[in-house]
Amino acid sequence: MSPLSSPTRSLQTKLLWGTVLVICLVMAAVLVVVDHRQRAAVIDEAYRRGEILARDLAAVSHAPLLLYNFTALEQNVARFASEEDVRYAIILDGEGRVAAHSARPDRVGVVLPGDVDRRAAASLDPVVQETRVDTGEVLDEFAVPVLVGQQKWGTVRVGLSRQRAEALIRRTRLELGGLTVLTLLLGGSGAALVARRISRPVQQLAEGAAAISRGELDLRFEPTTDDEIGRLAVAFNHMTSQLRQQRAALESTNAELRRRLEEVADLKTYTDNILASLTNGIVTVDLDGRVVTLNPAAEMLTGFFAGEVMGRYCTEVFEKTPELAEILMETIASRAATPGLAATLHRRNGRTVPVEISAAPLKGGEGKDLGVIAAIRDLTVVRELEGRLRRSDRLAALGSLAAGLAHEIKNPLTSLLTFSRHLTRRFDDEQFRAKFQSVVPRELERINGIVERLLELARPTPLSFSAVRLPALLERVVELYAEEMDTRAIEVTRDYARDLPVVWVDAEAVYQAFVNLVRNALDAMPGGGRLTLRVVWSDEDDVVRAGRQPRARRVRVEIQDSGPGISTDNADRVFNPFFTTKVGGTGLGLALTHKIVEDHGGTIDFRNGRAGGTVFRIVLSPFPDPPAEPGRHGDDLR
Amino acid sequence: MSRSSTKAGGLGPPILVMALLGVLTGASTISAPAQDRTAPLRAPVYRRPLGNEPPTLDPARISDIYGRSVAQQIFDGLVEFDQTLTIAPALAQYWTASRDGLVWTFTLRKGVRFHNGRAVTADDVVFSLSRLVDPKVTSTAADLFSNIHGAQAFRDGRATTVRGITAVDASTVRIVLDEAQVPFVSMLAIGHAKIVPRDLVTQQGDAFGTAPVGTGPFRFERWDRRKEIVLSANDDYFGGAPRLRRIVYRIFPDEQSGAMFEEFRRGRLEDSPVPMQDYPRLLNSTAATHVKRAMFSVRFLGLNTRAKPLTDPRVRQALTYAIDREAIVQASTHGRFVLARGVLPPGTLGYNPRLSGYGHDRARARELLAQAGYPEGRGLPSLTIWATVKLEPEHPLIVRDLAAVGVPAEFKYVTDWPQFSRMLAEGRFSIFQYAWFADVPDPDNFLYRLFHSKSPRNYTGYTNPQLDELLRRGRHEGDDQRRAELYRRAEQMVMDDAVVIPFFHYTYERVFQPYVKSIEVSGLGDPYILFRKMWLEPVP
Repeated sequence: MSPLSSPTRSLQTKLLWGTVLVICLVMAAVLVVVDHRQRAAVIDEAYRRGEILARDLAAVSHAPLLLYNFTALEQNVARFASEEDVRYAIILDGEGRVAAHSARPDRVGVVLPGDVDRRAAASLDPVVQETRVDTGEVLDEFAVPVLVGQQKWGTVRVGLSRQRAEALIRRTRLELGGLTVLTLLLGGSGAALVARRISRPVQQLAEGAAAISRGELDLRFEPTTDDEIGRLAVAFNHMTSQLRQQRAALESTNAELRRRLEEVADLKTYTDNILASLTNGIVTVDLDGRVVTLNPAAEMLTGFFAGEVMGRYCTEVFEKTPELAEILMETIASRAATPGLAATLHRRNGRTVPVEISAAPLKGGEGKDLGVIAAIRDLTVVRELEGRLRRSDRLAALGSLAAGLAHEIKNPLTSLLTFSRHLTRRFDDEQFRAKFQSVVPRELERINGIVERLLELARPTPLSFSAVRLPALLERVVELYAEEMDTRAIEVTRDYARDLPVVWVDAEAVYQAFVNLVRNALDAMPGGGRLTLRVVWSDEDDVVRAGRQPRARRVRVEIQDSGPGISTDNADRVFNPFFTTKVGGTGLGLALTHKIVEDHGGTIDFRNGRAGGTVFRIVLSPFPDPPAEPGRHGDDLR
Repeated sequence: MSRSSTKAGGLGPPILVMALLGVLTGASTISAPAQDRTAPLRAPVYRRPLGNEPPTLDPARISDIYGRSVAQQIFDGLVEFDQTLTIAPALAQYWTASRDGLVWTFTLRKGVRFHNGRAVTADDVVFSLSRLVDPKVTSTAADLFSNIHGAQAFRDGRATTVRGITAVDASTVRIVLDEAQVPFVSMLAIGHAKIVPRDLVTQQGDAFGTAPVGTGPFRFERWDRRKEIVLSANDDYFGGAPRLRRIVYRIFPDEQSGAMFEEFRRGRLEDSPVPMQDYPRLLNSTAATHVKRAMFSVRFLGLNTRAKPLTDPRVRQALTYAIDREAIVQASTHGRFVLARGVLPPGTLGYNPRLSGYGHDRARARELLAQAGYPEGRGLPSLTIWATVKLEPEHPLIVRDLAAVGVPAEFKYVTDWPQFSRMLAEGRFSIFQYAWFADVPDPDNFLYRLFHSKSPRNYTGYTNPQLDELLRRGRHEGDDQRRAELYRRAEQMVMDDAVVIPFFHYTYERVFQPYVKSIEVSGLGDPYILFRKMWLEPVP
């Protein structure tokens, strides 16, 4: 194909040249094969002809040779030499002399001198030799001896021109060449026609395709033929209609997609804004634990920029705050949300920030795990507020303590004041003196007792631990109040679990606590009632879990009354010093009890029973780990 | 060779002929008898009938087919005809000829011995060939060789030898001719020109003919007069030992063909001629191999052109027109022989199918007679037709046909062949019945020998210089086409002058026992059967 041919013509050109090439190749092959075969056949035929001619001449010359009928021999050679391609015919006699010579009658009777002549004359077998005549023409000479028995009677020699064979070969070549040219012409024009026929519609189709590529989908072809091209046109029309439909579908899909994309973009902006506007730090990691997101709040909190930590392992990024890395990795492993956990975030600049961290697995659509999200809440303000609150609480408690103290002390002091005013004037009065002597020390004692208990409450008490059986300690309390309960018709119910261990506590302190609670219960039931004492294993998750350590089993002591219960208004103040609802109460009993329990690392609370009454519950560890600063336990948030 | 038809039309064993060149007749096995493979081997003895006792077996002297048939197996010539009538080397292995065809040099085959063991020499050849022209030998072939240089001088007694025949050395013989003759080598293949041992022939003289010694495939064993001649195989034959061990010629005097056929049917002969009577029936009655072959022959009535009133060609023509030859040939030969319109038989070089011959036309005959001065035969002397044997119905029919145009005629018979032959040669017959069998398959052998003015066989006394010239040219013409044309003109000349009234060409016909194999009947007819190749199938 010519590279110059225009692209639209290339198919036609290709077809044309391809066909011509194939014809050329085939014809060349045919030419070679036929020429070779024909040449071989012609030459073979020429040899056969020469041999046959020579044998024929020998056969017809047999009798004349024996009869020495030279005329007949001469006629024979003349007749044979008249054959178109026979250049000469010679008959030699038995002696090798020329008996008849078609070309040179003057040679008759002589022995021809040439090598070819000698060989022909001498041979007893047919000989084919190449010889050259005077004109320079190369001949094939066929010599056949005439034998009778073993006796050679003569030799027949026929010189055959190669012209006939060569002419035949030439003619065949010419014919083959003509045939080739004719085939090329016919085949070429046929191919050109076919190529035109094929390429025109194809070209139209190509133009159509180009138009379609420009978007002109309304194009239609009229199929002109029933062949492949026609079918192609039909298919093309079908295709354009399909394209039209699909383009419409595509456009609507595209619009939809664009809309969705905008939505997604909006959503993303929305989410980004949310994330950015969140005061909580948000950190997400992938399933490998590599940081994916760090929102601005988190950046602020941690001091890292999102760009620098993204893709790094969280354990590496937050190595100063192992809690954060740990919680992230745990959540990845457990696929369960971790509730808020207080921690201290070590910022990059070395400062620490109190935070609360919660983590949850991040799920994609269809519940696929994507990673983990952790929210870091800055607790600095909260802590500050808490501290402030605690201070005000303490001031309030101090206020109420001072008020209570003032209240408690005021009465004896009033009595004492009164006595002291009258002392000078009534010093001599016996009655007065007697009265003075009884009242003033009592009142003073009372003040002293208050101060004493207040001091007790405020003073850290060294504990002496020993193995104690709690039920036994409770029984001592019941024994203490047995008479009073008897009189006041208070029934005691005991409910002690059997397998209770001995508990390692300060027996006197705990006894004092139990006494206070029982006293309190008895006071709540002035008209009688039921006192229920319980010592059981504690199963309740009533203690804030510390880390993931397995909980040690604890022992719970319950002291329940059937009194009116504690109003919710007073619930917060029950354990405050000097808070009391009883006439004549100092309000220091429950506070002291609270202190004792806390000193043992236990807890105390109360709740109203279902059937009325109040239940005080003390939970103790059999082997308590007493706080290092027993005096500060009340400030502990936990 | 030739012979008069003393028993012409008879059922004689096929006469020695040169049969037609290349004409083959069917040799068909009519049916073969069932063969018993367990039977003992057939004695390889071939028995064949001989129609007369031959006067001699000396080949140069033989003038009949009987002796020729036997002698052919005993002797060899320098050359011979093969079965296609092509010349083939025999005792001469090779020969050359001078360009002018006058000098022929023959090289003898080496190591060939006579039956008595003596080697054949060039001297024997010179002797044998010289004998042919020796007037003392009186060979009937003498005239064939009269153109050998010195032959005439020898015949005339002017020379003691034939100068043209010389031995160059012990194995080379040179023959010089006075006049070139195209078929000269063919002449040497004829039955007369056999090579005989000079010493024996010289010693024995005529007796050689009764106990011949030759070089052939069979040697003479014995001759029981009037009974049989027995030959036995010559295992030293140069062409290889024959397969037959013996040939027995049983003599049936006077051509008793009926008896021969009867013996054949009884299985006592290996071959037999077919009797003319009941010819088709007889043929069908035997499970024999039937060999049939056109022969190089012509049977005619010769008209002596020197005897009045036959000197006038119009009279001769009138006689030819008068006789309804076609009807007569049919009636007398039952269609076995071919009607002859001219002299040359079909297949001869120069045979002319468009020959202007004579039909049966009595009006024309009368007209010609009238022109010749014998209206209605008036003034015509009674014509005598001479023959050797009376033939029914042929002869009466001829007489009747001649009488029909007013020509008085009668048949006279000279039954003694030598006498008939002598009278013929002396020209004493005005009309004679004669058959000619060619010696060589060549028109020259018919026309030159029968009609050339110088030919001793020209019994009609016909002299025509134009014809002589044509015949002379024919002998020298190497081109067969021109030669044929010459002989056609010559034959037409003879026929125009109505020198002979031709009747028919013979057909050789013979039956052989089915177990006879390799029957190679050449165109030369019966004597030339190659017995050396023949064999008998070994069955009962």
